[in-house]
Amino acid sequence: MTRRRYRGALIAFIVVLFCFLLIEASLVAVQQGRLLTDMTRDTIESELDLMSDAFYESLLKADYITIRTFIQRWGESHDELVLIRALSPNGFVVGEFRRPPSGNARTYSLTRTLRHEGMPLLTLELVGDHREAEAVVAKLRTRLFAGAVLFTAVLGTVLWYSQRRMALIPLEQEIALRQQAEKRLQEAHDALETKVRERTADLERELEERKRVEAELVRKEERVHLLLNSTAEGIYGIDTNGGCTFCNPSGLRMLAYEREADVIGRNMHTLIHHKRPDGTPYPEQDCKIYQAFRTTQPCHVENEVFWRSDGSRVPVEYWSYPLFEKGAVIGAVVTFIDISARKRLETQLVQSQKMEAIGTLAGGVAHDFNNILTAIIGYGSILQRKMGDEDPLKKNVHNILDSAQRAARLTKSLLTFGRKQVMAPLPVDLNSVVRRVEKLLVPLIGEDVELRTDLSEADLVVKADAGQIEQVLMNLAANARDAMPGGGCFTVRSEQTLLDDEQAHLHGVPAPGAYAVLSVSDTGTGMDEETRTKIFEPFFTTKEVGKGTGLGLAIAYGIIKQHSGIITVYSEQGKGSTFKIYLPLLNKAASAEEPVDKEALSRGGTEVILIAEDDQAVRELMRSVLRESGYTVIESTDGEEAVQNFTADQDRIRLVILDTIMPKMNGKEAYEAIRRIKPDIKSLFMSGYTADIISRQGLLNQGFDLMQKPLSPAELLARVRKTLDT
Amino acid sequence: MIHRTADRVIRVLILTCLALGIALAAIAQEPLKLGVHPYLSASEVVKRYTPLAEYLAREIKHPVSVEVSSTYGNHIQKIGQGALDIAFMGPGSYVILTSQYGKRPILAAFRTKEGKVFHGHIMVRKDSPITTLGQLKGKRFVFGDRDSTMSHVVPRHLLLKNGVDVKQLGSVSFVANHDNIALGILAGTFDAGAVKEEVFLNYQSQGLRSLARTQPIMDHIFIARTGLPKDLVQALGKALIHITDTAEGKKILFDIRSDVVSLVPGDDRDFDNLRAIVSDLEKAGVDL
Repeated sequence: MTRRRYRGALIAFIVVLFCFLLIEASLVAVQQGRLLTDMTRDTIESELDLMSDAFYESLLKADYITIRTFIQRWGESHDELVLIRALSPNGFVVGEFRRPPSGNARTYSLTRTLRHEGMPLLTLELVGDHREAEAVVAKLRTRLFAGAVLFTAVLGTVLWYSQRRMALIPLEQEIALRQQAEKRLQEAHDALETKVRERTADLERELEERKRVEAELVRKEERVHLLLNSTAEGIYGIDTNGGCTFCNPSGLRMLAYEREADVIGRNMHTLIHHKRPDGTPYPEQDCKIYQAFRTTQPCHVENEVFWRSDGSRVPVEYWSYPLFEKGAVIGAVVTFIDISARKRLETQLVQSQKMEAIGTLAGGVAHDFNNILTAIIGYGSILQRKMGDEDPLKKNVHNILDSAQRAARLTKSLLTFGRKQVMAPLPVDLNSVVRRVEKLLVPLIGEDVELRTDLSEADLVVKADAGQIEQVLMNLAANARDAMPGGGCFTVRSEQTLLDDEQAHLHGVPAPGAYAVLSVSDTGTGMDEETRTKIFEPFFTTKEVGKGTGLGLAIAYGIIKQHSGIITVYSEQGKGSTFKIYLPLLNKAASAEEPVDKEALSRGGTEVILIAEDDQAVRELMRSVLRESGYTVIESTDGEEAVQNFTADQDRIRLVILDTIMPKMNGKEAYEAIRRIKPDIKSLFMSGYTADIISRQGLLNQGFDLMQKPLSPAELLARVRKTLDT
Repeated sequence: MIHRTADRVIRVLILTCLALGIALAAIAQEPLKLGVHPYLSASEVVKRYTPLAEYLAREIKHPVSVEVSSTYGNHIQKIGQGALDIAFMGPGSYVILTSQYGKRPILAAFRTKEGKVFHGHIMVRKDSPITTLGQLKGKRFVFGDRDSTMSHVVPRHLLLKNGVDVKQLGSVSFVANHDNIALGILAGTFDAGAVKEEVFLNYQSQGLRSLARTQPIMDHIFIARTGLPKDLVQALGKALIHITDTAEGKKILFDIRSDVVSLVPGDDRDFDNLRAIVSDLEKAGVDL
C-alpha cells in the first residue's frame, strides 16, 4: 500500500512536471512562431520594396520581359510565396508567378503600386504563407516536446531510483513480510471457506433429499388418498378398541353415511356389525374383524352382512388386516365389497341349473313319450268317434283320452320350464292377450274372487308367443286363487316403463330400455321370505299333495325367461303378493291374427300324401286317419325309402309329411333330396323332440311348417288341408 | 640520399609534364562562340540555343558556347570584329554587317512553310479604335532595336510607304526586344508597335490585333567568322543543314522557333530586297 502510494505520488509529480514542460514548450513555440512569421513578412516586404525599385527602372525602359523574369525568379527562390503578380494600370497581367498553396499554412498579402510623376505604372500584388516559419516552429515544438519527455523521463527515473533506494526497498521488504502473513491468512481463510462451502453443499444435498422424501411422501399420500377415494371397495380402519380411524367414500356410500365424520371415533362393530345375517345379535368379542389385531393374522369372511345407517343390510365379503406401527399392532384395516349382485347371480344360476336339469330330463323322454301319446290320443280319438253315443265303454275311452291329454300338457309344461318348448314368437299386444284370457280367468279364479284389470291406454307390443303368455297368466291366476281360499281381489295391470342402467341392473333385466310391465296382484295370504325365495323352483309347493304339481310358477318363470324378460315377486304375509313381468317393448304394431276356419281345415281330400315316420304306431295312425278322410297315403319307414317312394310316384304325390329324426336319412335331408326332384313339392314336418334338437337341424330358422307331437287326428287333418290349400 | 633526391626530381618532372599537357589540351579545346542577338531575354536566348551549341559540338567534335550580345549593334560589331565564330542574326543586321564589314560565309538559313522568308506586323491592342496605319499619327509607337529587321527597319519602311513618318507619331520608343513591344502595347504603355510575325502570333491571343503585315523578308541566318578553317565552316554548315535528320535536331530547332521546319543553305542575294528597303530608308533620311 505504501509502495503504491509512493509510486502514485511520484507519478503525479512526473505528470505535473511533464504538463508544465509541455505548456512551457507550447508557449515558447507560439512565441517563436510569431517572431518568425513577423520576421518573414518583414523580409518579404523589404524585398518587395527592393523589387519595386528594380521594376521602376525596367518600366521606364518598357522592359517587361525583365519584370517577368524577375517575378518568375523571385517566386521560384522564395518557397513561402504563393502568388506574385504585376498588373498594368489597364489590368493587363504583365507578369505572374503562382505556386500551389501549402495545406493549412497561414497567408499574408502585400501590395505595392509603382508611380511615375503621380501616374500609376504598375501594381505588384504578393501573397505569401508562413509555411517555412511554421515548419521551423513545428520542428521547434517537436524538439521542445521531446526535450520535455526526455527531461521528465530522466528526472522521473532518477527520482524513482532514489526513492526506491531510500524508501521503497525497506518498505517493500516490510510489505513482502506482510503479504506473506496476509497470504497465510488468506490461505487459512480460503480453507475455512472451502470447508464452509462443502458443509453448505452437504446441507443443501441433505435439504434436497429431505424435500425429495417429503415430496415422495406427499405423492404417496396423495396416491393413497386417490386409491381410497377412487376404489369401489369400501375401506375403513379401526383401532384396537374398534373405533373408526378412517373410512373411504365407497365405504361411506355402501354403509349409507354421508360424511366420514359420522363414523370417525365410533365403534364400527356396534355401528355396522352388531347382528348376524339371520338377525341374531353378534357379540363384539366374536367379531372376526377383531381377529386381525388379536391374532396379527389377516382374516377373510366371504358372506356376512353389514348394517347400514338406514337399518337395511348389505351382504358383504370382507378382509381384515392387522395394522402395525413400530412393530406393535395399532388396529386393523377392513376392506369390504357389496356382494348383493353376486348373490343374486348365484340364485339365478342355481335356478337356471335346475331348469336346465329338468329341461334335459323332459327333453330326453319327450320324443318317445310324444310318439306314445300320439298313438294313444290318435287311436283313442278314432275309437271314440266310432263308438256309439250309448256305448257304455265310451266313458272309459273319454277318460283315456283325458289322461293322455293331461300327460301331453305335463310333458309340454316340463319342456316349457326347461325352455325347450318350440316357441312361435310374434309381435303381440299384451293388452289384447290380457283381454283375450280375461274370460278364461273368471271361471278359473272362482266366483268369490273379484277380477280387476287396469290396462294401459297405449298398446304394449312385445315379441311373444301369445299362447305361452296366456299360459303364464293362467298359472299366476291359479296360484292367486289358491292364496285366496276365502275370496279376495285379483288384479291384472299393464303399463310401460323405461329402465336405465341402474334400474335394469337392479331388476335383473338383460339390458336398459323400454319395457312392458304386467302386474298380477292378489290379496291372499302372502308369503314368508323363505317361500318367496323358492317359489319359482319346480315341484316346490305349499299345497296339499295332489292339489298342485309345483310347476305353475316354475313354468311361468321359464316362459318369461324364454321371452328375454323377468318375473319378480313382492309379497308380505297376510297382505298378498304381486308378480311383475317385464318384457322388452317393440316399436311396432302387433301382427294381425288370421281367422281360422277349423271346420274347413278338418275337411279331408283326395290328394296323394307321402308319409315318412320311423315309429310304426304313429305311422299307422296317420295312415288310418288320412285314408279315412279320403287321402291316398304312401308310407315310408325312413328318409331313404321316402326319397325312393317319391321318385317312383313323384307325379302323383302332392304333399310329403316327414318326421324330423329318422334312421339312414333325417327329415330335412330327405326333403332336400325330394326338392331336387320336384322343387315346388309341399311339405310338413313333425317332431316329438325338443326345440333345441330341431333347431340344430335348421328347421325352425328356415320357416318349415312343423307339427309338434303328440298330434290329434283333427290337428293333423287341419294342418294337412291347410298346407295343401296354401 | 642521392637516390632520394633523384626520385624527387623525377616526380617533379612527371608532374610538370602532366600540367603542361593539360594546359595545351585546354588551349586546343577553346570553344567556338555562337553569338545570338538579343531578340529575347538573355536567359531565354541561352536556354534556347544551348542545345544547338551542344549539337554542333558533337557534330564537329569541338566545344561550342553561347554568347548573347547586348544589343543588335553590338552583335554586328562583334561579328565584324571577328569576336564571334558563329553568329545567328536577322536579315537587317546582316545587310548592315555586309555593308560595313563585308560578306561573311552563310552557314544556313531558316525555312518556314513560306520558305526562307518571314513577315512582320504593325499591331495595336484588340480594343484599340485604330484600324488603319494612317490613324497612327499622333499615337505612341514603339519599335524594337534600331537594327532589328522586323521590329524597326521593315515596319518603318512600311509606315513610310503608307505616308506615316515617325515625326508624325505622338511618340516613338525603342525597346530591347520584340516581347517588350508586345507587352508594352498590352500594358497600355504604347498604342502601337511592330514585331516579327512569330512574336505577334505568340501574343495575339492575349489581346493584340494586326494593322498591317510586311512584305516577305529573308529570314534569319547562321554565318561563320571569316577566317575559320574552311573544313570547319563546311562541317558547321553540314551539321546545321542536317539538323532535322534526327528527332533531337528537330526538337532543338522547334524550341528555337516553332514555325521553322528546317535549315537550308543561304545566299547573299536573298537579301537584295532588304537592301533595297534600307536604301529607301537611307534616302528618306532615316538613320539606321
